[in-house]
Amino acid sequence: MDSDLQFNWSAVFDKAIATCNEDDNYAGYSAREKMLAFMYTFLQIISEDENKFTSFLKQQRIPFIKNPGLEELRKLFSGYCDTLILEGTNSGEIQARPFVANYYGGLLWNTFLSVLYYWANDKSENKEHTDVLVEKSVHFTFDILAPGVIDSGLDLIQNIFKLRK
Amino acid sequence: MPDKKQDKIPTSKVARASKVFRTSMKVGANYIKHNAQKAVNRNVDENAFDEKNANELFKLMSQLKGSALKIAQMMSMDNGLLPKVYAEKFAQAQNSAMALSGPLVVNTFKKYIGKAPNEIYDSFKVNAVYAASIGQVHEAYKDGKKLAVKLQYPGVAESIHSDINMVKPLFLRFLGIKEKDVREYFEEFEERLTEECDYEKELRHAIQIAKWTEHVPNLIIPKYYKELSAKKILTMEWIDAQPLQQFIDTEKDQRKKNQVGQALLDFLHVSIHQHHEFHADPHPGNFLITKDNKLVVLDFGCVKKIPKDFYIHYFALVKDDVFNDPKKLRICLEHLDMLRKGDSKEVEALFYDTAVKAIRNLSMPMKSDTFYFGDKKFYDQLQSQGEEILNNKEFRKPSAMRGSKHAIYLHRTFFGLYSILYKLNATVNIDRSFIDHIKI
Repeated sequence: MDSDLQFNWSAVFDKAIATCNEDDNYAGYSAREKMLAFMYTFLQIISEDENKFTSFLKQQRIPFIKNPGLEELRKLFSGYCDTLILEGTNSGEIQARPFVANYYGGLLWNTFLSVLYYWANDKSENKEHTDVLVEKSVHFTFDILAPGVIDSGLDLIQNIFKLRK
Repeated sequence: MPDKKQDKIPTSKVARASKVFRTSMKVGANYIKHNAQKAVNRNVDENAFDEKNANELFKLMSQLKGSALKIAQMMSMDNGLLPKVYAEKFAQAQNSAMALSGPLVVNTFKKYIGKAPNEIYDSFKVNAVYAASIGQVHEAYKDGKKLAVKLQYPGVAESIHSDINMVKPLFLRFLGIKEKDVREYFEEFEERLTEECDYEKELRHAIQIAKWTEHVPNLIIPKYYKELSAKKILTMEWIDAQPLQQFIDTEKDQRKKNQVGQALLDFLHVSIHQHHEFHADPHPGNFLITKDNKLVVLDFGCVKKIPKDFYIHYFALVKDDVFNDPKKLRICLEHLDMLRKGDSKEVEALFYDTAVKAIRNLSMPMKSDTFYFGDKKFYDQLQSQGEEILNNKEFRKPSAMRGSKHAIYLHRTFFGLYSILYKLNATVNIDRSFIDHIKI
């Protein structure tokens, strides 16, 4: 397993962020779009050395459990997510929910991780299926983070209590 | 907010399959309801029943998008394959919208061209200006020229096969026919659809056909840019023009309409008769009209090549000396798989009569030097022909599934052409010189 730890995730990660920033549109993207752009870019970069990354990812039998080989990446990614979540919360794109909000980063990490595992096993032409998965799962995750029916429902309940007086 | 419309499109096979299942359940329920109503009241409207089912099927198709919708449209194009109510429903679905996120657009470019869109164009609009069933169109500029960039949705090409297999049983049930009798036709659909997802092929076809038809007056085929195109990306010249349907609805000057009709007919005739390879998707959405009334042809995704042998036996039927000679007529009909050796007398009589009637209708415009397509009687005859076949129970028998598979797209093309010419109320000149080249 030692060889797995040799991955220089921070180099890949930094390159992905740098490539994202090269695109003039990136700065103007919403948090959701930034996450999409990041994932696509990240996948492009690891595609350059596809065999190395797929064979590593395929070895990981149990996903979603703390994995020493991915720990560095998780930390970097979480840091990136924190800024995105802050940005999204300020713009109103993401709902800051008490207590639950602490798990947003973990949710995004799991989304990213499932994309990575899928990518490693994707046999479609040019890994197009992964593109579809990225699109759908990022939209899904951000829909959970976005203000929605539960938030307005809770708001209503709170107000009903106030209005009863 | 970015576009989230795409969330609603089920891509996984399971999701799609569950959609198909739900629809077939609903259609089945409608059928039971309909029969129950019929038992009580004999005057239940058959059309209302068809309409109800068409609604369900339409809902399903519009959710599946991609190739499922294409198949539905294709079947609605060939008059007679689907009852009128279905055909009308599917024709509406031609402008369905769905959008890729900006980052996915950029990603697609990087994957297939190796560069981001703003690296290869001077400017590029990330938001699509137009969405169709298998791709979307973006606006871009390069060297001062306005360009249209077509981008294909990911996963579309790969899902064709499973899509077809999923909607097939549904169609078979509607039409009451067996799979093995129509397998050949579905294979043909699949082949064409797969081709439609290959933009490199489309580019070659467009350039080729543009070259063949460059002498046709009042016809414009946009310039395609090979160096800015790839398997899933197609860059072409942007031509400012109005949609054909809008031209039909608003233009009052019949001479201008005739000019457009003439260009359309010449465009198809040149490619069919001189090269046996043609644009097989002539519906109004694929054409534009410029300010000086020139016809712009878009979308060369569906191009059909017919074998020489088929071509000769098909168009020989236009010749009077073939049509009026029972022996030669039989040879042609057998070649086209309309008659088969070993048919029983009744079956043969039925097909012989139907074929003769159909040929008489379809070939009418090719019998004179000018033809007035606005003739309602002619158009109604074309329409009713399909309905008649559909309503006749004899044609649902296994032995009734016949006709060369090449004929599907040729009929579709002629039917599309004649429909547009009818709407244009056009009188056009017919170049009949091709007839002299056909000898059997």
